This record gives sequence, C-alpha cells and structure tokens, in this order.
Amino acid sequence: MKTQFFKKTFLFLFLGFLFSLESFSTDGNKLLKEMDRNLNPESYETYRKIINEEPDGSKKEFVLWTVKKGVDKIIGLFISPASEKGRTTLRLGENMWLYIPNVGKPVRITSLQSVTGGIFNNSDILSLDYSTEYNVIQIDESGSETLLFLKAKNKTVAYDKLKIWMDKKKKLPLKIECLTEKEMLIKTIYFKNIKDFGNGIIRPSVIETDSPLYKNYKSIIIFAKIKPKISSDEFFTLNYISRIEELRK
Amino acid sequence: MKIFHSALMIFLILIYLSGFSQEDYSFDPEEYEKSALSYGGFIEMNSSLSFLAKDHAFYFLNYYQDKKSIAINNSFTAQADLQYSVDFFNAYLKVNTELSYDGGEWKEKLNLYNARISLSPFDFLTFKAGKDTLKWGKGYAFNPVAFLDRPKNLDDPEAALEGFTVFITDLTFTFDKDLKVFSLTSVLLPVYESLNSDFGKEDNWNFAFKAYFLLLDTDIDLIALISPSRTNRFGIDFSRNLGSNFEIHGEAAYIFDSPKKTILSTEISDEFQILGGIRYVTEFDLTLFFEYYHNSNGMTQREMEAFYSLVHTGYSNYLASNLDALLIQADTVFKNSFARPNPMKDYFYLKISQKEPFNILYLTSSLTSILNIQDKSFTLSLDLLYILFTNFELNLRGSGFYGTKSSEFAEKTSFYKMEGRVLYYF
Repeated sequence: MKTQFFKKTFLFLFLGFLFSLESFSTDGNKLLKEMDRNLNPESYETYRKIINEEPDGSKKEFVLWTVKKGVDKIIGLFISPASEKGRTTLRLGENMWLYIPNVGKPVRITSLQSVTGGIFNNSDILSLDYSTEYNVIQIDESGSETLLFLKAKNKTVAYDKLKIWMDKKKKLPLKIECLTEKEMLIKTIYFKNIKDFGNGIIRPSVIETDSPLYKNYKSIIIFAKIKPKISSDEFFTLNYISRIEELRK
Repeated sequence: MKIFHSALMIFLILIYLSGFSQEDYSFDPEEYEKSALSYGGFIEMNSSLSFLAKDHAFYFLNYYQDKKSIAINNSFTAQADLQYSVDFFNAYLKVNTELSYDGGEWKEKLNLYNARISLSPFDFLTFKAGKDTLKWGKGYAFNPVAFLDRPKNLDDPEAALEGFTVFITDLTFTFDKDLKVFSLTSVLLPVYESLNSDFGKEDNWNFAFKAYFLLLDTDIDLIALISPSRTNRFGIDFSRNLGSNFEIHGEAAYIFDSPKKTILSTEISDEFQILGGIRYVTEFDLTLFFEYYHNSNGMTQREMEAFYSLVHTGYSNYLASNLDALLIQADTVFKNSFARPNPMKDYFYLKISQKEPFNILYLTSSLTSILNIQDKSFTLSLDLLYILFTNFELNLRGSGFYGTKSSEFAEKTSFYKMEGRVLYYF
C-alpha cells in the first residue's frame, strides 16, 4: 500500500515537473519570439555598416544591403568597399554560401567562418531570428532585466548556448553572451542606441561585440534603414546569388 | 582667478577628451543608392623572378634558343566590369587586358571574358544570351564536371575565366519540404569558325543541362553534356556542411569515348574522373582545403617518362646538330596531349590559410601544395597577402618545385619562382 502511494506521488510529482518545464519553455520561447519581432519584422531589408576596429586603432569598414524573408532566408550584398563590392552571402536555414564576382561561382561557407574578418562570423552577419535556432531552457528575473538561457536546436548552429539579458519592459536585448557547449565565452554582443526606424520598428541601431579570443579587437554593426519587404522565394537561391544587385531599388 | 582658469582648462580638456570618446555611430545609406549603371574592377602590377632549371625538360622546350639562368616577367593587368540593370533586364560586360614584358618585347592581350544580357520575365524564369562563364562543380582546385568551362589555373583557382558564347534558360522552384530548391539550367553552345571555335569540332550545337537540388541541406547537381563538338559526358556533384566549421564536397564525371593522346598512340576509351574534398576552419581562423582528384585517363608514369625522354633527346640532337625538329615535335605533342593543369592520374591539393598570423594585422598567409601521387613530385607555395590600405593589396608568393628526375614537377621550367603583385580595386 505504502509502495503504491509512493509510486503515485512520485509519478504525480514527475509529471508536474515535466508540465512545469514544458509550460516554462513555452513561455520562454514565446518571449524570445516577441524579442525577435521587436528587433525586426520577419521579412525586411536593411542597410548595415560593419566596422572592425583593430588593436592599433585602425578600422576596416564594409557596407551591406541585406534582405531577409521568413524565418530562414537571408541574403547580404556587399556594396562597399570596392574590393568587396558584389560579394554576396546567402543563408537558407543552416546552409550558407558566398559568391565572389571574380571567382564566378557560389561556394559553401560555414557559420564559424567570417567573410569580413573581425569578431563577427557569418552567422552573426547573416543572423536569423534567435527563436529559429535556439530554445529557451531557463529564465531568471532580476529588477528591470530578464535573463534568458538558450540552447541551440542542432549542432550546425554557431554557438551552443546563449545568455540573453533582455530589457523586461521593451523586450529588447541589452547584452548577449555566446558560449560553447562547455560554457566557454566566445564573444559578448552589446545592443546600443535605440532608434525609431519607422513602420513601428524601434530597436537598437548599434551592435558592438568583443571577444576574449580577439583581445583589443572590437566589431560594430550600425543599422541605417530597416523596412518591411516581402521578396520572392526564388531570390534566395543559388541561381540568383550573382544577380541579387538587380533587386536593390 | 587661478582656480577659474584651472577649472576652465580641466573643462576644456574634458570636452576635448569626450569629443574623442564620442563614437559616431551613424551612416547615410543614401550615399550607397543604386544606379542603373554600375562598374568595378582592378588594376594589377605583377613581377616575377624564376630561377631556371637548366636540365629540366620544360627548360629545354622553352629556352633552348635563349639560354639563361633567371627569367624576369613584368605585367600590368586591368579588369573591368560594367553592368546595366533595369527591372527584369540586365546587361553585363567583363573585360580583361594584360600588357607583359619578359625582356624581349611587350605583349598585349585583350580578352572579353563576359558579355551577356539576361531577361527575367518571371521570378522563376531567366533567359541569358552572350558570353558567360558557368563554373560548374563544387571543387576548389579541380572540377571534373566543369564541362563548359576553360581549365582553371591551379596556381590561382579563384581567378576569373573567359566564358563561351551560350544561350541559357534557368528555371527555379522553391519548396518548404526536405527538398528546398530545385532548379534546371539548360545551355546551348554553338561552335563555328568564328564562335567558340576553341571548344571543339566546328559546325555543331552542343546541349547541356544541370538539375540542381537543395535536398536535406545538401547541394546536389546532376549534369549532362550532349556534345558533337567534344564527346557526351555526365556528371554529379554535391556539397554539404557537416558542422559549423566543416564542409565536404565531391564530383564525379563519366566521359564517353575520350581520346587519350600519348607520344606513341591515340587511344579512345571512356574516362572517369572523381574528386573528394573538405574545408575545415579552426577556432583560431586557420582554414584548411584538402582535395583528392583522380582521372582514369590521366597519363601513366611511363607515358610521361617517354615524353620527357623525347624532349631530352631532342635537346641533345639540337646541341649536336643545331637542328630543333625533335624539340618542335615534342612541343606539338605537349600542346596536343599534356598541356593541361593536371595531366596525370592522381593528385592531392592542400591549402592552409591563416588570417593575421602572429597577430600581424591585415596579413593573410597561405601554404599551398599540389602532390602528384604517382611520381611523388610536388609544388610548395607560400603566399603573403597584405592589405596596405582599403582597396589596395600587396601579394608576395614564393614557389618551389620538387621531385625526382622525370617526375612532373621536377621537369618544370624553374626550381623556384618569386612573385610580387600590387593590386588596386576601383
């Protein structure tokens, strides 16, 4: 009798624990999706400047025009400097390609490579929604901030874990730590200068990053224009990668 | 008063310092507005110094009349792209011109690499016509399935290639399933005396198609060329990311009735080429490319030795009689049979590239080796690429050729070669 009671109590507690985990992760993932939508519409175009600051104080700058569609399609066209002009990066889910006009064919690239050098890698430059690649596994509340602990959905994602410090009221990220599976810090991303881009998009216009792996280096992304844009799916394919400039108005 | 002056001074210093610490985090995208007409390109100055190998077969072929220990070559190259794009119409032009001087006379080459127009009446349909480079295949150094391309230069696999005049139709379809993209490219390539005459037999129309699938996160191409100008051939290639820093790729081509010309005979047989490769990036930004290439119809070691022997005999005859008929014959044999980047059966290609080695900013160093597996000869090159300023690059390269006598790389014209290149993009 006692054993049966013990078994039932254990089962009840276990199921209760599973249920709370499930509802907790659902809330967390919902919160993450809200943050994604506050950062940008699901489909949009934007102009960005990437600045790599070197330890000697010198800077390398790149200007990209980027178009994203849905949860897993994004394409970036380099429009400056002249040495990079026409380079195009395409991401379809976990698949990434780079097209260099002089080479004349797209080649697969991996998320940990960096087409610009500096601290931002390809997955940072061609970032999808966080909720596309990660699940929330824990939430901590503290004052005006919410701390989200994220785990990658699969092995091809660049960082195994993320810690996101989020503004509780605005539901926008303040800081993100990117970690390996063994909790080693790869880089920290800071979100700054909240700006009204129109169309209801109010978000940080500057993203800064530093890394213990690149001491005294800093990389920055500045957003200039973000506006909703629905593009045809065919544009996010290898047949269009060399001609994406044709889409820029 | 003194305190006022000191406070004012401190205030001014703080304003001055704050002016420096204030980061300007804005830019004007209007500066980058698109215009219908756009252009780009580069100007390159190249100097090379080759330390010639006076007992190597290719030295005899190239320098038997003009013996020297070193060869200096200077060249200027300009390449320009011009593009006009409006709505669904696009016109594209790429021109490459080179002026070179090797101590004898200035030589000029002007090549129209690409000149094509394209029309996209629907997003899923594009027509192209004109001179275009297709660059089919997934390999970095070798591309068995690049049926409609000119051969790559193994010293610079990323260099632009001259295209052929073609008519292309592209159909693209996208899905939300395991198959994400399917596209079909069909190509018509005519060969006449004045059009694509270096492709193969004249007065023929060649037809090629490529079916591309992005299936289960893997790029797959099925390729076929129906070619009266060459011979019919089929191919398949694939590429896939296995992790966040690891990519694998492969190609296979089957060529029907491929002629193999040696110095003694011409054999017709089916040819099979295969390529397997990886690309791996470490946490400290070291990129490794590794490829294996096999060609069933490549020359055997004995066939290559026979060719080298012909050249050496030709040179001995020339020294004895001042007659170069045998050397000219050997040169003709070379151009007809051996003049391709990888004439033998099996090769390894390895490239290790490190960004900013030893924390030297703006420097990329690469070590490249091509190994002929059959005769164990190999090349070793060290490349240093330094970005002097934005759009301004300096490239230094040193190459060595190693192997035993009568092996591929040990019979090249030189022992060592040094190159310096200055490149400006506009």
